[in-house]
Amino acid sequence: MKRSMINNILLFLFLLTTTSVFAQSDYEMVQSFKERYQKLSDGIKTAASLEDLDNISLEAENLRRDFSAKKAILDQSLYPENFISAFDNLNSSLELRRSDFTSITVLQTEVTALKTEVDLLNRRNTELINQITILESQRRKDAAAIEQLENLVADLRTTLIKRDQLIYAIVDSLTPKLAGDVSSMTQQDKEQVYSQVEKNNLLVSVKKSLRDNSRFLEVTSLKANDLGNVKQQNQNFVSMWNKIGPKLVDVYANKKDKTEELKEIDNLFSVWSNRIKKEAWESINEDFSLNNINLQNFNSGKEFVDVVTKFISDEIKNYGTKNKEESEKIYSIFSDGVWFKTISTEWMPYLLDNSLLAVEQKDAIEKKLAEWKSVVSPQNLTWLYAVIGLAVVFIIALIIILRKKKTTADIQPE
Amino acid sequence: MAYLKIFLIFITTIVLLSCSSLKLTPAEFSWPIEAVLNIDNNGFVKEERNLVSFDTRALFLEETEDSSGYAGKTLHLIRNNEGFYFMTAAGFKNVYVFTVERNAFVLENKISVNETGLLNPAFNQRKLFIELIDDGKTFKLTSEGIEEGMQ
Repeated sequence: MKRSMINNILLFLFLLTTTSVFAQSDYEMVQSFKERYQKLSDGIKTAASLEDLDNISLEAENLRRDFSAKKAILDQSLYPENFISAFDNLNSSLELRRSDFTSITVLQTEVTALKTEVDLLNRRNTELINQITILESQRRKDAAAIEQLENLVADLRTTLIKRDQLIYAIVDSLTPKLAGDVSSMTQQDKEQVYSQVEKNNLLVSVKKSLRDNSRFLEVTSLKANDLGNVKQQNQNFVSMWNKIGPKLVDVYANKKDKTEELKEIDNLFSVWSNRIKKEAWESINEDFSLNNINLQNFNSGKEFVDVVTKFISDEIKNYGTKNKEESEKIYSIFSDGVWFKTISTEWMPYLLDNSLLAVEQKDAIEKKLAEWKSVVSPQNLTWLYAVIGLAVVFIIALIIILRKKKTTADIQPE
Repeated sequence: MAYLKIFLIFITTIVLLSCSSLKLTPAEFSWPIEAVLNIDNNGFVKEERNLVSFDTRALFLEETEDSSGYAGKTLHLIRNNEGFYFMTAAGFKNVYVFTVERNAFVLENKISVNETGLLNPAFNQRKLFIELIDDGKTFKLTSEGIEEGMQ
């Protein structure tokens, strides 16, 4: 009986002590719940993988278990939410974020496939460029080789465009991450972009593409229409790079070797753009050259005007000193075979549209061409002399008739 | 005569009933948890959920005899089921019980809880009282005082 009483007293004291020790502020309990809940919400937003989300899901279950005994007070304190709806929201966010990662996984698989395809096209392009280089040297020797060359150029052009499109697709996979303001990106986000760019060899692919596109222009001679398409391709590529290039500079700010790589890409863009400008002049020169008119090299509108007018001036100067038939033949080939057939109809719109040549410069050349024509094939003036002769005869006849009439009139009154 | 008396009592009862104010009962005013409010530079606090805001300077003047004693302090505020507001802060020796009048809190009771001042007070809403806990000690408070003494 006595022992039972002592036990009861001890139990009472224990309960009294524990009640005091475990007395807790409801406010602090609610705050603690809110803090842990907020951490989970933030964690969902910044999760980098499905594994992270799985861990957050476990944490959410722990939170629910830890606070389920306080559900009643949390229901009242989380207004306008309650205990159940708070966890429903958390689970919805988790599921939504999970779907993001599923999409990203699919995209990554696609990008890996794209990268493999880009590698294949890189090899194919190199082979084509080598074959074209060999055939280009035989161009004037073999008609079959010309046809083969044209087929290879068309093939190469197609694969270059296809490879560029694959690079666009890789870039598109990065765009969502680089859509916002890069300065507000966390270091973790930047590392993710960096790792994705590196994993897909993006910078290497872009450089390879730019080099191949420049090389393509070096080994081929294009028509104005083809060059217009190449220029459009260049503009598309530039616009794609402008979307991510400057942002990648920020992402790569701490990686010096990569910053150099980005600068190199900028230089390759300049090389390609300059190559396109140069290609027009080289192709025009090639058109003259194919017709055995050998002009000096020219790389700008001014040089083109200077070279062409100098050539014409020399031909005018030498007219008569060398074989006239040969001079006339050169004029005919230059004027009818090249200028009016190809340059004026095919190249001139491209040159004027792209501000490579001014209208005044075009007029200056055509004026010089007219001057050359007047020397080589002067106008036949025989008919003019005949008309003048006839006019003189008519006037003399008229004077004689008038004099005769006057003499007759003077005699009659007598 | 007896009829006259009954008639007068009946009339008086009717008149008295018609003069008394309208009451909606029962009513429940309790907040589920206390509000812990930072006092701004002007001595004001603002409770966001229930949209209560007021000047605390007179309260600090009453408790500490220093109207600028609010600087850097937080005020603990809770409303019990009857509609009384309980206020205290770290360093206070008392819990203040207020009723509400037009644009004012009016002191209903001042409950002395700790002679040396509270260290880290917190109010909890309980069914029949407001629980004040501080430094491991618990007090059951009503608008009239400490209900069950110090535990």
